Amino acid sequence: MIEKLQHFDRRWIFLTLFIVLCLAVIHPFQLPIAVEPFVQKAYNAIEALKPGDQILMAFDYGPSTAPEVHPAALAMLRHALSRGAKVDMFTLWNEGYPYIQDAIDKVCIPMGKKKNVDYVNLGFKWGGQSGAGVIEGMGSNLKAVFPVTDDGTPYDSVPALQGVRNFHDFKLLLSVSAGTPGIDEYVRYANARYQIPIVSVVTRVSAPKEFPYVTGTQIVGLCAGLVGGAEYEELMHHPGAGTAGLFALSVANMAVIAFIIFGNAIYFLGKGTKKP
Amino acid sequence: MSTQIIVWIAALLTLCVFSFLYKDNVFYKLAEHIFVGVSSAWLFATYLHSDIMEDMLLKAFPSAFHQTSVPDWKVLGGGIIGLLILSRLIPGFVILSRFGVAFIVGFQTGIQLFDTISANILQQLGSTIVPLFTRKPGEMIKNWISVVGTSSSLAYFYFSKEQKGIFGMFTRLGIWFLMISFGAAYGSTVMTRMSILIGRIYFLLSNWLGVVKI
Repeated sequence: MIEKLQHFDRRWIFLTLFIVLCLAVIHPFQLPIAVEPFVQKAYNAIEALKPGDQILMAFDYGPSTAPEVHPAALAMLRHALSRGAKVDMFTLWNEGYPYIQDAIDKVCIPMGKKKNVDYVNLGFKWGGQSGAGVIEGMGSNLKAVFPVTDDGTPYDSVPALQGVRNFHDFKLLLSVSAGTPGIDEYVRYANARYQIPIVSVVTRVSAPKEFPYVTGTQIVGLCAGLVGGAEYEELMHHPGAGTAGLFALSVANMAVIAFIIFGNAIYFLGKGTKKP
Repeated sequence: MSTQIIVWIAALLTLCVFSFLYKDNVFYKLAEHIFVGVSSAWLFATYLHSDIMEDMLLKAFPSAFHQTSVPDWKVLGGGIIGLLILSRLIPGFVILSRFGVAFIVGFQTGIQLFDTISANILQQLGSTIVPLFTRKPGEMIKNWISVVGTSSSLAYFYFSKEQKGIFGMFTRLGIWFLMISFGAAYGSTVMTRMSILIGRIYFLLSNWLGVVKI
């Protein structure tokens, strides 16, 4: 029996996980959500914005990581707009462009915010592998990097961008990042050189790497993955995709832990048996 | 159930990719090839439009695009440097490509030197220099863990002294800190992959089948 289990077909694990997750998604259960201090700091930084404050928001991610970071991006955008801040959105990833439009459709328009007045879609700008040139360019002259908005409106004709020249005119840089160029490049080029405070949303896998940057002077607040999104939605009292996915994620984690225990138990029980 | 053909295509391609978990098959290969082809085409089109059309040709020759702005000839410099890199494809002109590569390496080094030292070394060092004795017990424990963890992990990579005795014990402590951080990174990786899988399942059950409403 133990020998049979030692050669357990791993495809059963995939199938079990798929069925368990489908059930968790179809029948969700509201779990209590404890907010991490880093998420609270991110919330506080956006809560401190005053009406008319300018913030930059970078959508540097694609379809492969959107389920993780997009819920937090929507929650933060909703929060910033509710504070009366003007949000200028852009992306250095070509795959990130549709998510700006999705955010406008799901957050800006339902909130009754006006295009080019309350929010601006600056669109996509290829920043190279490091993004250094574009970020440095934005720091010194935003208009030179984005001479027109996504809909072709000249920079000088956009009401929201009147008087905005470079990073010094922004209260906050909100970086939703899933790789390079992303949060590391903003810390290096935007924060180190122009001292612009950064609030970031990152994937859970890159979160341990970014924690040391949450020093108060580099990254002021951080939301990590789907869990971070759910926590931010909890602070906003506005449940969304993050909260919806949290139960399924918890079930998935429990299933993985159960499989690890199962695998180890089989290993130790079968230690005395002969190898085939 | 969705009536949009694009949702059906996305859902069927998702199932094709999932089918690899059973075993390698023709449906997975089909999805893989479509993914590579579409990604390449999308990248080419966006970079052509963004870099070559908008950032170079439109600025250098605005009248050709019915624009009234003043021509900015200096943007052609970037185009020439880019073309120099392509000279690698022409036998006898390979050396020209080195000028383009040299410019890119020089630019990146110059722009990164100051900022990387500032952001990744000086400010991070500053965050490690913390008071070890404070009135708040929680903060004090956190600071001790931060200082001991950083110094013992760094000590593990110091190979000029044999790792035995008290120094050996200290470096073994460093291994523990490293293992805990690797464990946290691995746990985070699992959570990321599960989140992405949940996103796909939501797509199948919500956008495609309409079983779940978000």
